Amino acid sequence: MNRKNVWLVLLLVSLIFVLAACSGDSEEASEDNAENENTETGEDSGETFTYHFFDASGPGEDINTSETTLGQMFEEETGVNFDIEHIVGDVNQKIGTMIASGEYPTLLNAEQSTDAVIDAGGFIPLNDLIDEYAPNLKEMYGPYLEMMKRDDGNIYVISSGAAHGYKKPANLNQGAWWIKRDVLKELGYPEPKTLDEYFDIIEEYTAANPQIDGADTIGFTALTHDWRFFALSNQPMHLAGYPNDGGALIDMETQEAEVYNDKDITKRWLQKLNEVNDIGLFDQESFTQNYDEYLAKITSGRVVGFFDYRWQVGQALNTLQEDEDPYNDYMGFPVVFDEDVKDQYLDPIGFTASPGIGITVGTPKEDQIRIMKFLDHIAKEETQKLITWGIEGETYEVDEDGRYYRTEEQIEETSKTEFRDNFGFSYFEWGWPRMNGEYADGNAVEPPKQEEVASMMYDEGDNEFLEAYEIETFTGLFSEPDERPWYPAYDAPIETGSEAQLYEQQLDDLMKRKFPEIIFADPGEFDNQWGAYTDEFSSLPKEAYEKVITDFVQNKAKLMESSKE
Amino acid sequence: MESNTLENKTKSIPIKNKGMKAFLKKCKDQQALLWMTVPFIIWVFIFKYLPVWGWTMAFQDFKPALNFSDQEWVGFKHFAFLFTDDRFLGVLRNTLAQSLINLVLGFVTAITLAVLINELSNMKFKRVVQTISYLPHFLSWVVAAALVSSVLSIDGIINEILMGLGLIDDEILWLGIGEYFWGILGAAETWKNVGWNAIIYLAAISMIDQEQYEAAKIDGASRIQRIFYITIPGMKSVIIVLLIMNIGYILEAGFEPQYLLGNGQNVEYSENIDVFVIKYGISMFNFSLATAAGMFKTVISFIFLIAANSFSKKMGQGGLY
Repeated sequence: MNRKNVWLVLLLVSLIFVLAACSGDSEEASEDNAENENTETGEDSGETFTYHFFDASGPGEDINTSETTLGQMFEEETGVNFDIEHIVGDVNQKIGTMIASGEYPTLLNAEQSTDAVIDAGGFIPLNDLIDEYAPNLKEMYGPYLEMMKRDDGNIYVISSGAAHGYKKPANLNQGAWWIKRDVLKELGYPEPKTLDEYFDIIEEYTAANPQIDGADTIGFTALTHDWRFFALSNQPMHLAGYPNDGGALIDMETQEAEVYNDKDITKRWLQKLNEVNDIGLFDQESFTQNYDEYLAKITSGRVVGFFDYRWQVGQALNTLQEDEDPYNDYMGFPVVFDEDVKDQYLDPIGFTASPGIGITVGTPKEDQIRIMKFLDHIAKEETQKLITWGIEGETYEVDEDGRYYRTEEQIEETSKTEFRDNFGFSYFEWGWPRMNGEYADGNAVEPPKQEEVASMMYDEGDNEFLEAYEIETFTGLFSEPDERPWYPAYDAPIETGSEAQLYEQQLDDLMKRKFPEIIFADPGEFDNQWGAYTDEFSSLPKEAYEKVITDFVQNKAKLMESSKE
Repeated sequence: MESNTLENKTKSIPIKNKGMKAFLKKCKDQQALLWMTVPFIIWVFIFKYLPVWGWTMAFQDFKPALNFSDQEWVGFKHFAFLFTDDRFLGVLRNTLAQSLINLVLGFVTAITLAVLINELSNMKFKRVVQTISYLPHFLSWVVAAALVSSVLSIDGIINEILMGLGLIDDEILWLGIGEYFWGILGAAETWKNVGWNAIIYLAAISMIDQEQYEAAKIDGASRIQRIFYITIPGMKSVIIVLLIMNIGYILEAGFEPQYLLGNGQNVEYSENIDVFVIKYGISMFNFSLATAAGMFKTVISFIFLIAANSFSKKMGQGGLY
């Protein structure tokens, strides 16, 4: 290569670098220009604005809201649409990376990491925006606005589910002790009330049917994967007659929080599992299977029973519901330790201040206003009806008394995932500003809670079991929830880097390590194993955690009281 | 003695000058080449050296919302936490053990495979074997881990085979027994990477002069003797360079397989530094601790690398640099 050529190559290389550096800049510049133009021309020009919304509440298809019927309607009204991106993988890690880099989407639902984003200054305060631009939102949330305020008096996220009255759900969405219907039918529809009765059913069936469809019968399986470990560690609370308040029991009188992971109720639960394991009814893979394997196992029909929250096993149970055999489905029971304990599996009226959606820092003022106006539009009651019921004449009907109902075809249509996606039900369902309970005209916010809809949702298979247990709906066996104004206690914000946070993480690690050892231990070894666990537990800073929860509970209860007056 | 060294120094000055002059002259002669490296030096500086600034985080109670000047400095607090935490010591042990197993197994199997493939004379069969052996390398660990866990599950094929042969009486929950984890990990890593790792050795073998083999044959060397006296010595320099490079990564035992195959029952053997950083650093938003652990890893790797390199030089094998 002669000298001239070398320089030529060098020139080329530097040119490439210069180009690469410029192209990024110029793109950004042109984007900025476009935005500026938009703001200058104003909203009347019919411009649409697209914002990035990261939704960590669950997996889903990434779409633009305007591709759905509802989103299209909202876009026409407000000129705003959203590119929704759903979470893939672990929420904490994804949000942690966002915080570390300081790069946020415009609208963010950070799910369980909401507090961390607030601590990191990732959200802007919404108080003034709500005051100025969101009259409907203010009306819908009413007393809850006060509860959404953090210690510094600012509202950072708008959460879903402002309760307007209580409606008992027709179908379970919360925790229950599930048993395969086939088993119930074969044993003459027994109704387990206590933990012992529940496992007796499993034992009796498994002894008579060691195999299902050629594969070994699994008596009882548990979900323990990753952050879902609570599906195994929450039971003592439920069995003792408490609703899902998280990691502590709240005394109804004193409103004091007390952790239960080292208490007798936990010991009793583990002891039962230890016994169950000893007679070969506990799934040996409970601690090694991941979430997908767990769902696959339930779908396979080999599992006699399991405890879980309906929303967590929804995928599996929906699949079973859709196939032909109604006996493959599972039925949930409110099991407790002793006959005289009142079960509390159905959630009381509650309000969670986090998670919710918030606008992130760095969003220009005009965009903040547009987004707030969009959220306010969603908070109108007529929009709420669109989101939950759909369009009159298409997805629901109204009778002469003003009651909403759905025809059989509409029920079938609106339960199809594809339809829900296209219509936008799936994307506006939860997470956005939402009401709960009843509309002003007395109709249920959610169609499945409307008696007219609920009674038609059951097929022959369902009816067989409803009749056998002499109930109207599948929640018929469950007690009405007691009033718990603080509910849920797990909503308490836990500060990043605090002792309370350390307690949660260390407890989680400890339980994940020790529970398998305790459950799989030889029954004679149980007490030793339990002792070893409680020894280690005693060194955890549980007081710090209890204090955070107690303060939160008492404060929230006080707020609820004052809002009633 | 002292005067002698002084003399040497004074003497060396003009030589140094001469060296400097020669150096500058060389620079001038090769200035085109030097200019061509500039963009890459800038690249390295931006992407490899500027981020080191972030290490300051390890000495702060880092809060993302605050400016650098507002951060609270805490000195070696996070390092102290790491080295007094029983868990971290266990994590360190796991990292080293997993890494050593991977290193040894990786080298032995890849070299053996390369030698064996080289001995094959049927070209078609050789290609098929090679292709099959490096295919798993292209699977993502997410897929590979799902395969491994289903093979090792209670009703998986391993249990079925062992039961069928009558070697065990009850199914074994392989991933539920901590002690087995290192072995499982080593086997999985080997299965996934052996073919890929063998490629470079095959390349090294192909550089060996064929005449050596012919000469050895005439001298009556058997196949085994040819392997031990020609093939393996011929690969030696490649093996050593790779060994030095890999020792630099001794604390990088990998992250994905441990994270994906790890569970509550084997956590005492599966958790390594990277998994620990994710759990106690990123997931708990404790970036300072994560940085401290990462920094520790870098420093140790650096020491290992330099030690291995100088050791290799001392042994007369030539080093990486």
